[in-house]
Amino acid sequence: MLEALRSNYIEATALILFGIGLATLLWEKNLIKKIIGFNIMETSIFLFLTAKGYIAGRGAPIITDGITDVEYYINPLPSAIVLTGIVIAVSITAFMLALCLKIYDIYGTLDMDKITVMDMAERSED
Amino acid sequence: MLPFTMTIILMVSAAVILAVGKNSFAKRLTLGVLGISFAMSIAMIAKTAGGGIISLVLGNPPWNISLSVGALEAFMSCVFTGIGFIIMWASVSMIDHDVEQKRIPLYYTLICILVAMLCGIVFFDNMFNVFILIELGSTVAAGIVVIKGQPENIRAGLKYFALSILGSGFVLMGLVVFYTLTGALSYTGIQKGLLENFNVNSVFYALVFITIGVGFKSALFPMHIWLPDAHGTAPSPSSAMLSALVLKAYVIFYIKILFLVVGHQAIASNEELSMLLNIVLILGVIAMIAGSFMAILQTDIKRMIAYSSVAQIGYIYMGIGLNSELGLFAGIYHILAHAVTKAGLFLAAGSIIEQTHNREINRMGGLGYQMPITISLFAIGALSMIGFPLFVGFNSKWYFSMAIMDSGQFWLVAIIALSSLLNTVYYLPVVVRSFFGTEAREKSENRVLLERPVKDLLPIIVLFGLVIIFAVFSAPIINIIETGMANIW
Repeated sequence: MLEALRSNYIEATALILFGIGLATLLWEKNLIKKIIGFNIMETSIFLFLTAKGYIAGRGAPIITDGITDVEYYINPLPSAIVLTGIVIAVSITAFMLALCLKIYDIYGTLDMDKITVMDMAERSED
Repeated sequence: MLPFTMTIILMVSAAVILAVGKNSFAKRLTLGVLGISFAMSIAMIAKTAGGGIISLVLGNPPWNISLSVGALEAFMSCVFTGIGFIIMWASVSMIDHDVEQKRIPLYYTLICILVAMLCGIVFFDNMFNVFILIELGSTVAAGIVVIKGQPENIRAGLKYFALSILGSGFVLMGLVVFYTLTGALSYTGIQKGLLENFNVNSVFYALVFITIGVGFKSALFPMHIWLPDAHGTAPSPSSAMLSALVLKAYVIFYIKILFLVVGHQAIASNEELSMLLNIVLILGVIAMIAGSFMAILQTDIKRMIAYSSVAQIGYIYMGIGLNSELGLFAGIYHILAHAVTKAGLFLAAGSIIEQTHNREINRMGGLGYQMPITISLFAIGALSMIGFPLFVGFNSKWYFSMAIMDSGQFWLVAIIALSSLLNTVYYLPVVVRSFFGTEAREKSENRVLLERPVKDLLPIIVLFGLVIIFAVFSAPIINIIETGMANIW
């Protein structure tokens, strides 16, 4: 068990991070913390992917000193995917934060529980 | 080139609409471009109807984009653009009530992007591209919910978006597991990789991740909590788009992963994988019953229709969970049946709310004398949902029953009967109350016609006409779905 953990410690870390992010996204009441949870979750997936593309002793897949031999570089595909993933995560975070700003304008709080209570009160008034 | 051109045209016109920024221009261009896309989808069906596949690779690997469009993909793109066109046609007169004037060009921009994303999700062959399109699609889908700008919209939109990206995280994790197992990202590449190196545990975990992810996005039962809020509060054309089309693209993605990449034989021969599909089946069955029960409890007409979507998605997942050719066929047919009927129901409900400013079902007594055409159309939708013969809902229930008979799990027939009964309990009172009862008698004596002009009702009439036409002349549709399924089964 420990031996398996030691040889796969990156994968194990990634899964633990995924769990932390998931729990934060689901159970935190504060909307900003929920967004942080989402970012942790995405980061864990990026870690997992980058680790899968890494080959010990080789450089980043950017051509340096005119060396075009494949042997010198790590697998570029996971890195490319992670880059795209980061762009998506950034735009999603921006959209979420914009929505949070709207929520704060309307309710004056970012606590989901309080917002639900205020919403219930509003609905019963109608 | 056809599928790629179609996606590009939709994206370009989205940009043009935003740049020009005139409301009437936005409406016309959206209708025009959706019409053109629909014609292109029909052309794609004509090309692939013989069982061929339009495959297109742009650029050289690893910098390439590849699309492969078989009959199933062409059929889905027909559904997305065709029904999207009719919904947008209806939205021309409805959207002014829901969305601020200055945001209307933005609304149509989002719609064009959304349809492009939905078609892209079914066209693209590379699963990472599909993942990007899924993410963009969820963002845009949340956008057409929050665009109304009311507090409940923002709240519902945020809830939808948060759970949707949670689902995306799971989907990405599943794709990463497939990638590490096979080193490929395209459907066919992973399929070949799995033939050489089938590690049951890894495939099981990948499928669990993808099932949870797609479950969140397409509102499979315990993960449906965002759906009633988002679909219930969005502008009516958005509700129709989200319910009829957006949920379905993710289901097609799931179907392709299950049956094209992993394969039904591999699922049937592995205990873990068939257990996973059984869980999907059970969740679908629970959704059929629980969704209907929750719909009965609703007083808001749009929330009621939204909960009915949860039940109908349950039917599709039940078809998938049977892991049989007939079950998958019934599921795909139900995608069409539900798309047509639910789009019509949401638009009819939207018309009622727009004219009477009332969302409560209890206060709809006598409405049949004020809005006879709209309520009659609603009745057609209700009968189709219940599964009355001559309406498209009956056909799909018939195919589900055939699939169940074939698989030997007879208790599911009882579930379908119970679910139909529950559908009757919540859909028919709306129709009955609007024609019968004391309020109806009063309103029939001093009539105030609240009907919208026939010109505005025409798209809804066309949709419900399709509900009947698809039921009576279903042979060509069956042929196309069968040809398409031959590529993935």
